[in-house]
Amino acid sequence: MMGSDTAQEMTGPQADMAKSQADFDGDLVDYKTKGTTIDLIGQETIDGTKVYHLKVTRKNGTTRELFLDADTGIDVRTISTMEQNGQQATITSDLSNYQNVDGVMVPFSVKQSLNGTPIAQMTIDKVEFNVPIETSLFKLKQ
Amino acid sequence: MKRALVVAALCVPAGLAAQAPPPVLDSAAIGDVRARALGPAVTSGRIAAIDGVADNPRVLYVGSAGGGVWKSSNGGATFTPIFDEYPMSIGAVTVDQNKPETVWVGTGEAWTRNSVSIGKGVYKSTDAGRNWTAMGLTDTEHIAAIAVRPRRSDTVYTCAVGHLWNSNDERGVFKTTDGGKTWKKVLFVNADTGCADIEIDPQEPDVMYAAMWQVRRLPYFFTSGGPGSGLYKSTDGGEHWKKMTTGLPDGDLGRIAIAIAPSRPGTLYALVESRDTRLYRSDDAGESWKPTGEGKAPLGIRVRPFYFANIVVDPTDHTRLYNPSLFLSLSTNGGRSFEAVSLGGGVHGDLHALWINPKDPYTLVLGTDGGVYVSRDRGTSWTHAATLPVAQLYHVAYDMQRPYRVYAGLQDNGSWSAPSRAIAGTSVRNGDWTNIGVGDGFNAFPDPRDPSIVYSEYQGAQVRRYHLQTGEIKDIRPRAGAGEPPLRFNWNAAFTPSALDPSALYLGGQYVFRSRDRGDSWQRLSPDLTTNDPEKQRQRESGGLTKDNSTAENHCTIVTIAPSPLDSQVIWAGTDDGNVQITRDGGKTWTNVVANVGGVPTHTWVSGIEPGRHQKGTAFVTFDGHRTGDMKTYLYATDDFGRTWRPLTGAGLEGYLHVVRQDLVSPSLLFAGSEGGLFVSLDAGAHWARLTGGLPAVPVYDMTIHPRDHDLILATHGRGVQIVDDLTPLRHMTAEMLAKNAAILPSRPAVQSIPATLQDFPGDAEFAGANPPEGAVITYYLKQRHLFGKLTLDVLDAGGKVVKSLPAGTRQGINRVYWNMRLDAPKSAAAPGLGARALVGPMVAEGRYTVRLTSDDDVVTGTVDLMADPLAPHPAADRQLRQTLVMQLYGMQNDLAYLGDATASLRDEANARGAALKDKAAQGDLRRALDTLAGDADKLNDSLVDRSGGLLEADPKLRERAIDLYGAVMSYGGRPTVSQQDFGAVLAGELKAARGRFAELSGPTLQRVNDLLTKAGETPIALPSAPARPGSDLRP
Repeated sequence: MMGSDTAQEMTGPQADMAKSQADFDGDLVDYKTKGTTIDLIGQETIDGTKVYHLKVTRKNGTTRELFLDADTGIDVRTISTMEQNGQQATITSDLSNYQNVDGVMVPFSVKQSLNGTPIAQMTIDKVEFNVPIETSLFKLKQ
Repeated sequence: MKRALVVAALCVPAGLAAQAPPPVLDSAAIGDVRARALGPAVTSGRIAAIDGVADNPRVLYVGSAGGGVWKSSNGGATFTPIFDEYPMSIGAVTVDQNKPETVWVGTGEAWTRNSVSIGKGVYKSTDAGRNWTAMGLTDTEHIAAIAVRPRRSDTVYTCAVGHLWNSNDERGVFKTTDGGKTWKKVLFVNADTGCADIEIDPQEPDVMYAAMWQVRRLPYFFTSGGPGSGLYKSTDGGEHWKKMTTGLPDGDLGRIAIAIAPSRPGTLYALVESRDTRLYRSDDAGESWKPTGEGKAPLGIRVRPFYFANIVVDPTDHTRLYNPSLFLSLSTNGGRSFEAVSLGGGVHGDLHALWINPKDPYTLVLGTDGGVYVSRDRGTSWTHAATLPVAQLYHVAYDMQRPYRVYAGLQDNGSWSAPSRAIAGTSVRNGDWTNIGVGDGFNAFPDPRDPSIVYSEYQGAQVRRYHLQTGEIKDIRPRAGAGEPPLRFNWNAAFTPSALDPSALYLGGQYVFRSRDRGDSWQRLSPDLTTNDPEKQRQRESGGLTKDNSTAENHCTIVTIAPSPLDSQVIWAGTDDGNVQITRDGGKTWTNVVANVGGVPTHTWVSGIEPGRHQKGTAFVTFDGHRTGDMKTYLYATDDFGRTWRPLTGAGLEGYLHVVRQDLVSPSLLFAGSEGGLFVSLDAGAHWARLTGGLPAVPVYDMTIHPRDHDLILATHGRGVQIVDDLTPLRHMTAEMLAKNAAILPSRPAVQSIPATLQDFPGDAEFAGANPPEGAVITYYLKQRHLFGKLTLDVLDAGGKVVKSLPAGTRQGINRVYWNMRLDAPKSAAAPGLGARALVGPMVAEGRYTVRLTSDDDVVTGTVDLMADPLAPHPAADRQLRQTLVMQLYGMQNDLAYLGDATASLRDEANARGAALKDKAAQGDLRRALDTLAGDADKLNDSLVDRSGGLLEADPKLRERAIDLYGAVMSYGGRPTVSQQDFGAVLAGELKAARGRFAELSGPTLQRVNDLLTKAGETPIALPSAPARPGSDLRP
């Protein structure tokens, strides 16, 4: 889990979330093959920026909302909802400072809020793809 | 030559045509210039509707009269606004109990008092309030109820009062069978009669009842009741209706409230307004009715039916009835008699909504003029929901204290004052609010010469002088003299201090009054400035079937007085019957200049006058015609004392207006308060944009600009006091700037105050009015949202060195980034204890800093100024002494971090090398040298760092003592104590000694080890490199 360098078992909604986050390509790539459906909610604005609002429903029933910049198609915002302590929690992520890393546009700045309250501002210094990772990292200690 | 000129002349228009139109301000460009809600929630605002989820009674929806819809997911402990993009006045909230994720909202309150707002139809959510869709009926203006057919979610009925102030056809009962996509008007009487209540039989949903109500308000009169009113029944799902009369009174009826007993739906109750308003009961599904009780009906039943007609039957007992009215009363015998329910704990009177948990009828949720109360014992005791900041303000004022305080008058909640920011903690809390006046509060303001004196006002110019220290209140209302006509005062009478003469108070009746002795005596400063039309002074006859003379219909009165801040002889006065009067000789002569305005219907209410802040001939006037059904936007300006006027209703301005203000610094910066929010113009009214940051489209009744702090302070009629912090950036926004890709905008200087501590734990069930964000505000404009490439924001000191890099905001329009004015926290040696006082860096020195915003292809710079706290009495030399000591201790920690980590590293490395030696005997010298190095390093480390294990096992060493002193000195802005200074020297001495020991360790001792290691063919032990952080040699 976050803040720990030893493997721990993850269960429930957190595990589901981690699994969906492991889809590195994002929800839109090969969505049909993945069994995902995508609905266009409409064209909206975020602080004046025109966006397409999409609703993604994955095969397992979890949903996510995407807001794509109308000019470039890049993700401006994502909204995920999850259960937390029996309450609905909405996590909004604002993405920016995209940079091209090996042909992939990666947001180097992510701002997150939980139910509208800012909780995290992540600034990424460096992104590398396909760096080998020791399998032993994922071994549970007995 | 000639030819060239011709070419040039031809080119100009072509060039102009090719250019994009000049950029204008829009809501997105205003960006992060946001309003923050201050409250109050200690006293809340009127609640018009409540519904809950039967199968999950933790979920409650509350519709407020002017502050939108709020949801609680915890039975009322906390509430969240869920309807802020939509009209703020709520008439009905209905949960579809078949599918409780579906919630219906009818906008436009139906408790139609004089100050009621309007709605724009019906809205629906299918995800428990997260997203909303407009479902039409936009011209209904007031919706009393929405009923969903049991077990058939797509069939819904809307009960619409319709227009209050004029006739219209979109009113009555509307039915949809497709979930609101289309509506059919199924019950309509006439264009002056709407629907006031609807109830569906829970067991036989084809059976339903509707109350039709004829009602009309005028600016000076209202009539509840008429031949259109009546009680109707349908037995075919609302397709056909018949009027029920058997047992009901003859003659005109007024407002009717219907209640079906859920446990026995053949039994109904109807509170029927008539010449003899009383409660009726039917036991045959509405076919015939009998009055309950004998003699005159109880007060709760017959008082103000237009405002209180409401009956709620207990879900399990058809004889147990609640009557939320002026107070809550209860019948346990089917309405034969009522007793007042004990409203223990000071529950606000004037009740408009009551929800009873159908699964637990001991739980009641009550909506009052003062917010929501929850009872768990059927009404014996109540908890106030102190988290609902939906107060309806009329006016707001400020003082010049630091922090300044605000003063506000609230609809039915008196007058209150609070600091604009809390000194301790991070929020202005309910306990920070002070009650300074009673009744319906209007104008409240401090005496400019004596902060212990506050003036307040309640309805009809009941002006009071309140002494804050003693609590003594003096009634200072002027009264008519012998032989004089009675004085006339509006519900919301003009009452204001002078901007130029601190001794003068002005009060508006039909005359302008002035007092120069704090209200002890008043002089008439004008003749009757109104039309004095006797037809509009019949408030004693107002009310219709139930006479209602509360001063709310008082007319032909002065509602705004605006003394010029530039010339004490110039005073403006506006009246509710449409006069705009000006005197230029201190009141000797007055001229009515409204005829010069043009374009406004005669007798239109003059809602606000703003005297010019930059030229004495200038004034701005708002007119408000909504009380005759005229919802247009009227705003005019003059520069010649009212001789000529020009409209300022440029594109973007919407809604009927209450107030306009000219900025104190930039003459072309205007603010307009409408029924639908706050609007800003940068170009003197040619274009307008709504300020949407933090502020829904709530009515803005009044506003004022703080001359020292440059805040715009709003009186909203539904969301309390709102403050837009620091107008400086807006003052510097121009069309030229809007065209740039990026620009830094100036902000007011940031105050380097030391945050006060606050130790208390109030839980969640209390509203917290946000303090302005701590720190220096860095403001910049981006023409477009930043998506691609770097965007960095750096703060540089006078020497051009970056002292802080901040995450940059990326939104379109104005971004505001907050810098806590501190360096990064000191580095701390690894230790079990956290050293909490070292988690913040020291504040940088006061002065001017450069701000630099860098993108891949652009660099813009500006400045930000940091100043010492003017509240703090510390001389510059003391501040400097403190700063020096803080910086020494900061550097000391960075040194200690290195020493601590380096000693631990040397020890661990020496131990590891020692353990790895194979032939101990052969390596005797090396072994001993390694042991000595490890031992000395460990000893030194132990003297530097508390290794005892954390929280409660503290054994403070040099690191911990330095952290403690660092925190202690930093928490006070002035001269450190002698003890602190001496202790700083002690620590510095110890650090020096420790450095000496470390020099020995890392020099000769390590060298000896490394010589032996090299001799043995091993690699030498490396000394950890020193960090780049400033050390204790650093001087600020």
